[in-house]
Amino acid sequence: MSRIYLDRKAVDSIPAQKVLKDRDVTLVDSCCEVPDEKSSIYIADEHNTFVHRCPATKIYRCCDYHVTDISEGCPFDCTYCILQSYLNHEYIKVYSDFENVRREIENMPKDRFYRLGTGELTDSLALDHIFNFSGYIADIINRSDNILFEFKTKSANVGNLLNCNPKNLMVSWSMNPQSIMEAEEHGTARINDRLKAAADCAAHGFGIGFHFDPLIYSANFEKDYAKVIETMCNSVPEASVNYISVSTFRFMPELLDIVRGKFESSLLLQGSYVKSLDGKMRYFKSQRVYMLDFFVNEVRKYWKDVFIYFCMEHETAWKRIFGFDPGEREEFEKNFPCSGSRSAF
Amino acid sequence: MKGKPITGITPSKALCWTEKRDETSIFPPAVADINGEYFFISGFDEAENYYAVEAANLAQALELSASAYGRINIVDLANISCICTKLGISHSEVKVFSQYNIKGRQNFQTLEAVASYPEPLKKYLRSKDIPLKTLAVFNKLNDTCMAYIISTVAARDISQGDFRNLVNILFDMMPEITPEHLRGDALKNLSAERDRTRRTFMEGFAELAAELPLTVSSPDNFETGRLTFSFTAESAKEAEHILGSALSQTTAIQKIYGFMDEQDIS
Repeated sequence: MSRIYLDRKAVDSIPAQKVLKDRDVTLVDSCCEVPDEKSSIYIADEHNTFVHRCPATKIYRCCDYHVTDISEGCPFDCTYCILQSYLNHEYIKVYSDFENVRREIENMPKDRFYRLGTGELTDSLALDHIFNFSGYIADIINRSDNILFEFKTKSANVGNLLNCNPKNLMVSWSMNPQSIMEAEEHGTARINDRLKAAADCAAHGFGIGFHFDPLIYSANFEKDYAKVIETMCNSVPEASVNYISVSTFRFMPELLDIVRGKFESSLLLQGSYVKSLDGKMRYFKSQRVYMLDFFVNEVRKYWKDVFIYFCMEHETAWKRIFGFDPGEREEFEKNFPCSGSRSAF
Repeated sequence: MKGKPITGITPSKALCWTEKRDETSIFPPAVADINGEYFFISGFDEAENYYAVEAANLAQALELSASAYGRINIVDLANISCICTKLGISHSEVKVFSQYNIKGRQNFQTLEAVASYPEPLKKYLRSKDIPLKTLAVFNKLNDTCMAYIISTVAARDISQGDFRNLVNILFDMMPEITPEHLRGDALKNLSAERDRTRRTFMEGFAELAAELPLTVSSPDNFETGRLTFSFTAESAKEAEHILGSALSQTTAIQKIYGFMDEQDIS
C-alpha cells in the first residue's frame, strides 16, 4: 500500500489536487522527510527538463526515441532494473509540474515526427489510477499529429487509458516468459493479465508495442520464449502492433553486486558476461546473436510483417540477422513504419 | 581519559565487547563511572585497582571503550552492536559505527550476525577487511555453502578477493549446488559450465591461432571481428623471420576469420 508525501510548495499542482481529493497525504518540507522505500510516493516541487532524447551510445545502434521524465522510481522490483544503480532513492518521485510537461511537449518542433514516452525512469501506468497522467497527456497528444506517445508498462493498469481517445497514443508491455517474470520481475502483472490489457487496448484502437528487453538466457530459453511469443501473437492482432523491440540482458558491472545484496536469488547471476564496447556487461556475442536470431524467427512464424528492432545492439548483429544496418538516431528512426505514416507535417 | 584510581569496586562486564586481555599492560583496567555504577571499558578482568572515568551514560562509556582500543575489527564491532541492541543503546550515539561507515538497519543486522559466526570464521575476519556487503551475501547462503566457506577459511588463509569471489560464486550457483559440487574441482567446473559458449569459442579460436607465430587477440572481447596480431623480437632478423613466417600462412589467417564469421562474431 503506497503512502503519499506532498511537498507543501506543490499543494496547488495538478497531481497534488488529484490526490488531496480522496487520499491520505502527508505534507512535507523536503524529500528528507520521505521514508526511502518503494511504497513511498513523493510529489516533488522540483525543476526538471522533462522532454529529452533517450540516452544512447554511438557504439551500438540506437533509435531516436524521446522520453519525458514525469516521474522517477517504480513500485515494481525487477532484479535487472538499472534504476537500482541509476537513482539514489527508492521512493517514487512524481514531479508536480505537469503544466511544464505539457509546455515542453507542445514546444517540440513540429517539422518532424517524434516517438515519445514516459517509461524510461518509471513504469508509465503503474500509478495511473492515482494520478491519471494518461488522461492529462491524452488531450495534448490527441492534438499533436507529429507525436506518437508511448505508455510502457509491466502492469495491467489501463482503466483510465480506456477512457481516452487513442489518437497518437500507444501502449507497450515489457515481456518475458512467466517463469522469468516470477523470478525476476517482482510485483508486476502476470503475463496473461498484461496480454489481456493489451488486447483491450488494441480493441479500443490503441497502437500496441512489446519490449522483450531483457532477453534472459536459461536452460529453458528456447521453450520458454517460444511459448510466450506464441501466446503474445495469439492475443492481439498483428495489425495493432506498431513495433517489437528486443535486446539481451546488459548492465553496468556494479549491478550484480546490487542483485546479490538485495534478492535471494536470480537467473541473472547464473549467466556469463563480457565487458562490451560501451562498458556494459553483455552475453558473449555469439550467444547474443543466437538468442536474437531465435527470437526473430519465432515471431516470424506468426507475424510476417511486424517491425522488430534491436535496442542498443551492434551493427554486425543487425546485418547478420536482418541483412541491413539501420544507422543511428534519425536514420534509425526512419525504419519505423509508424514514422513513415506521419511524414507529412 | 581524565579519571582517578579507585579500589574496592566490582565493575559490571555488561559493556565487555572484546575477549582481548592485554597481559602485558601495566595499567589497571579502566571503568566508567555512570552515576556511581561502574562498568568495565578496558582490561575487562577483575583487579584490585581500577582507573575510573566519568561517563554520562552507557553510550558514552561504550564510545570511550572503543576509542581506547584504536583500530577495532569487524568481530569487535559486531559485539559492540549486540551490546547496544541488548542494553537499548542507540547505535547513532556510539560514534565508532559511523567512523567505520556502518549505518542503516540492514548493515547493523549483517554486523550483528557476525557475533554468532563460528570461531574459525571469526578468527579469519579479525585479520581481514571483508566488507559488510560481502558478509550480507554470506548470510544468505544455505547451511551447506556456509559450512564449505567456514571449512575453507579454517584450512587456509585465503585472500580477501578469493573470499569475496567464493561467496559470490556460491550464492550465484546456490540453486544448483549439491554437496557433490563442493568436493575437488567440482565447483570450478560448475562455474565454468555457465561460461560454456565463450569457452568453447575460445578453445576453437586458440587452436587456430596456435598455427601462427604471433599472439592473436581481440581488442574488444570479440564484440567485433577486429583482431590484434602481435609478437616480440629481439633483433631485426628475428622480426623479419616472424613476420615472413606469419605472412606465408595466409590460410591460417583466413581460417581464423572464417571461424569468427561462423560463430557470429564478425
